[in-house]
This record gives sequence, structure tokens and C-alpha cells, in this order.
Amino acid sequence: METDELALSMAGCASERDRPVQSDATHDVLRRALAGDRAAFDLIVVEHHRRVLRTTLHLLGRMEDAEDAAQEVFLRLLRYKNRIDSRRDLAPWLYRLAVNVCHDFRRERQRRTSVTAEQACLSTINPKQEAALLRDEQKRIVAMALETLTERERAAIVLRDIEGLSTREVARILGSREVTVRSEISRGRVRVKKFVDLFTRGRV
Amino acid sequence: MNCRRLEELIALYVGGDLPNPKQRTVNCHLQSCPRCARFADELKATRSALKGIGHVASPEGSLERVRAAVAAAQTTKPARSFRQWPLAAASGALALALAAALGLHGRLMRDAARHATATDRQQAANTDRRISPSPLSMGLGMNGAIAGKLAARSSAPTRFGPQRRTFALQALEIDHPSRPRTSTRGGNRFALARLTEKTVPRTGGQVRGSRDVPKSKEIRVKFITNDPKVVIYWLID
Repeated sequence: METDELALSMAGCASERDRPVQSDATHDVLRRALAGDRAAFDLIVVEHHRRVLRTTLHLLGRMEDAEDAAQEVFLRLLRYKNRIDSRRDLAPWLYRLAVNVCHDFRRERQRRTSVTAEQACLSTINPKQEAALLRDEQKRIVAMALETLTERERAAIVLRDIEGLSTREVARILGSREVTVRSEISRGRVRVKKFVDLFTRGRV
Repeated sequence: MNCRRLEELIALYVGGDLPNPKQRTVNCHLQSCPRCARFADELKATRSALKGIGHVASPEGSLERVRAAVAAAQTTKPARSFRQWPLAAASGALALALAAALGLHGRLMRDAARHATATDRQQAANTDRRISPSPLSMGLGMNGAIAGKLAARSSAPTRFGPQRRTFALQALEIDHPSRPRTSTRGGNRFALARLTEKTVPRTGGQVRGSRDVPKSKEIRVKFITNDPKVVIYWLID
């Protein structure tokens, strides 16, 4: 996905869980941030950092990469602020930037190491992590299951099931048709479920 | 009903992602098929587990690092400002280009469009789009520099349909027969152009730089925008 494919009209996209209240104050902060007010931009970073980090973490699977990606998201927001409509919700922009940045990170990572998703997944199951698996096994297994999805499926699942966006919103963020996104969500859910089943059975 | 074929629908059903008629169809099937009902229950559990991993604690100092990086980026000045260029030649060429552009507006547009079609196809560009500016307006800002931004309407089919786009100008290169190629950078400070884009189909191959253009009496001005895929040329007789 190319950066220049950023949607220019993304009205009405917001997470069910994190849908920010679009008060006048929020709009004012965004407007000032986009106009070059550094303090206002800082407020934007503080307000959205957690959401962006959460998304990049689930898209990339590693916290160290996720932190770098989250930082890059805000730097790109700064770079492309002229393209953003301050009257509209910022969240869809951030999700889209996060997806784009993570796509670039994954591509770079693949260039450096040719580890496949399956290998990456298997490599995470080692004795050192056994304790962590036992502590919070369900979360770990699901996080590993996400690694087995294709990039598109993973983005769709993260935005729909973890971030709680509607299918329509996910389609707009990913620049796809709704029917395509539904198909990716469906395949993604079944694959996650089957991975969890297999992994759980293997361990029992 | 074929349970195997329903698997995909059930995966959507558990998230409420199906249109109502299909939702009802799947619901009816689940009432009568214990195997699929179990499959649906397991998918619901998977979906709950996915929701459950959504709560992430930020590592210590993570937010502060991002804030510092953003603050640093905001205070960083453009790599080379127009004023920092010790090139009187660049200023002269720029002023000449502007004067020519303003004075030969109509002709400039026609020439640019013709040139973009003939030369660009011939030269096999690897940029996605080349833009022939038409119509154009530009103005001189303070200190003789041009200031402003550049907007273009894309006629290329995109997944969002035709759309208006705005680019910031990152750099400018001027190719003039009597001078070596000069270039300058300075963000929005030096260039104001408002134009409509004519998209030339991608032709593949390498971008041929200004130096590759046979020298003639024309002045070639190359705008490098903040979008690496968009390069804009002005050709001035």
C-alpha cells in the first residue's frame, strides 16, 4: 500500500470502543495541530499514542518494532498534515497510517530475514517463553495465531475484532471493497480458531 | 445444507457481519446442526480472545520517546533553505523561469502538455504520474522567492475516484541552456503553483533526468514534491 494512496475522504470512521467525542475542543486542538501549533500536536500524540501503539503491536507482533512504527506514524502524520481535514475524525487517518507503516516495516523485515510466518510463529514457542505462555496462555496463543495470517487478513482482523471498527470502516481504511474485507475477516477468524485448536490440542 | 460451505458464513455470523437475510439463514441452520453450533461457539470464543488481547500496556518511556521525536522533527528546518543556497545563478535562473512562465503562460501550457506526452513516453519514466500543469497560477512571495503550495486534481482512476490532491514542493531543479543545472530546496517557501493534473500513463523504465534532455532553448523546471511518485515539469521556451 503506497503512502500516496491515503484516502482523502474518510468521514465517519471511528472505533466503536475508542470513538472519540468530537467536541468543539477536540476539533479545535486538531485544527491548531494541523496548522502548525506544536503544543496542540503534542496533545494529539498524547491522546492517540496508546491506540496507535496497540494497532502497530498487533500488526507487527513485536513491541520493539511496534514502538518504532508508532513513532513513524506520528512523524508521517506531521509530514502529511496538510492532507488532513481537521473537521473530521483523526482516528481513521491514524489507523491507515499505522497499516501503511507496518506494511513497510514488515517488508523491510522480510528483506532482512526471510523468516516465514510459520517459522516466526514456531520460533516464538521456545522454552524461554514457556513461563509467559503459562501465565497468559490464551493471549499468547491468539497473538501467535495472528502471525499465521496474511498481511491483509491480519490488518482486517486487528481493525475489526481488536479495534472494534465496523466492516465498512475497515474497508475504507484498507482501501478495499466491503465484500473483500468480509472475506478476509472470515478467513482470518477461521484460521485463528484452527491455530488455537491445534496449538491447544498439541499442548494437552 | 453443506456445513463445509457454511464455515465462512458462520465466521461472519459470529461477528454480526452478515446482512440480515443471511444472518437468519445461518441462525436457522445452527438451530438444527449441533456440529455447526459448536463451531460457532468456538469462533465466538476466538473472537472474545482476540478482543482480550486489545489491552496493551505501553512500555515505560514509550510515549515520551515519540513526543521527543515529533518535537525534534518540528524544530528541524528544511535541509536547505532557498536563502542558504549561495547560488546567484540559481536565483537568476529561477527569476528567469518565473518571468518566462508568467509571460508565456498560454504557450507554456501547450508546450508542457505536448512535451509531457511526446518526451515522457519516449523517455520511459518509472514514476506513476507526470503532471502537465494546466491551468497554472503562481506568484512571487517575499524576497523574490515563490511561496505557497501546489494542488492537483488527479484524473487517474483511483479506488476513491477522481480526487483533488495537494502536494508540498520539496525541491526545484532548473535546467537552462546557458547555465549548469541548478536546484534548490526549501519546502513551501519557494513555490506556489495551482494546477490541474493531466496524467500520463506509466511507461516503466528509468527516469531520465533533466541532464538527459537534449539542450535547446527551453528552460526545464522540475518540481519535486513531497510525494515521491509525483514529479512536475515546466517547460518554458
